[in-house]
Amino acid sequence: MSTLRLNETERASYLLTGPASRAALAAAGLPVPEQLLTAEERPGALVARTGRDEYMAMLKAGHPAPQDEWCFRRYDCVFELAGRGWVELMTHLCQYDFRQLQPGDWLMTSAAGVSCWLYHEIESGNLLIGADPGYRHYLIETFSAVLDDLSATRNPTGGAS
Amino acid sequence: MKVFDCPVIGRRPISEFDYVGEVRKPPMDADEASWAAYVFNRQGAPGLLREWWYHRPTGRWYVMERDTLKDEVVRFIDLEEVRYDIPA
Repeated sequence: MSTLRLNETERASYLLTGPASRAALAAAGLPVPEQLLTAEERPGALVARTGRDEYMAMLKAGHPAPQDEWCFRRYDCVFELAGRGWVELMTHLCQYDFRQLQPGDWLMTSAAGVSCWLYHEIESGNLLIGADPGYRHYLIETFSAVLDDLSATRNPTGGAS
Repeated sequence: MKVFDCPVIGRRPISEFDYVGEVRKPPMDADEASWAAYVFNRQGAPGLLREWWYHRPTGRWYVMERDTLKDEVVRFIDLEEVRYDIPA
């Protein structure tokens, strides 16, 4: 069984808005989700539709960025919850019922009291969590504390000999 | 935990939302008494009320018709229904 762990990942984030946003995504070889508040993955890229003509793109290093006057760089901190049991961890930090979140689902909710976007990766099964970078330290500390608590519960050292 | 049953994004904790009050249209060409009533008075009687709700994680605004007596969302209102033009 794989161990549950939290990794910080490097993703260049962009916000595209305006009537040319779809064309800018397509020109950069990025997917264009049709439904509002859904996301699509391509190797090295994740794009979510967050408004009528507004999209968020999270790209791994080396992927070309979309080019448009109304394409703005974001600096989200992005974490990856890897390993089995992340649903249990998230139930300690968020009121959303994560049993509903299927691979490929995009969710915008509050985790540990912070507005976040979340994406359940299809292939790896990991959970991506993105938030305002001002909350980076707070989120690392909070998630790590809950991870330690869960780990201690699963592997009790006990006091009796 | 109190849950807000949003017809658009589903059941979410109410802590994710800001309540922004009743949907009201300003009386554009009214006298001072009507303006005073608009600014200072609110409809507090229980019943159906059209309300603004703001969902912080998505940054989206919603207008809901809510039964304030039963605390139940009755329906989602399209923003086109509540828009009005500001006189030039």
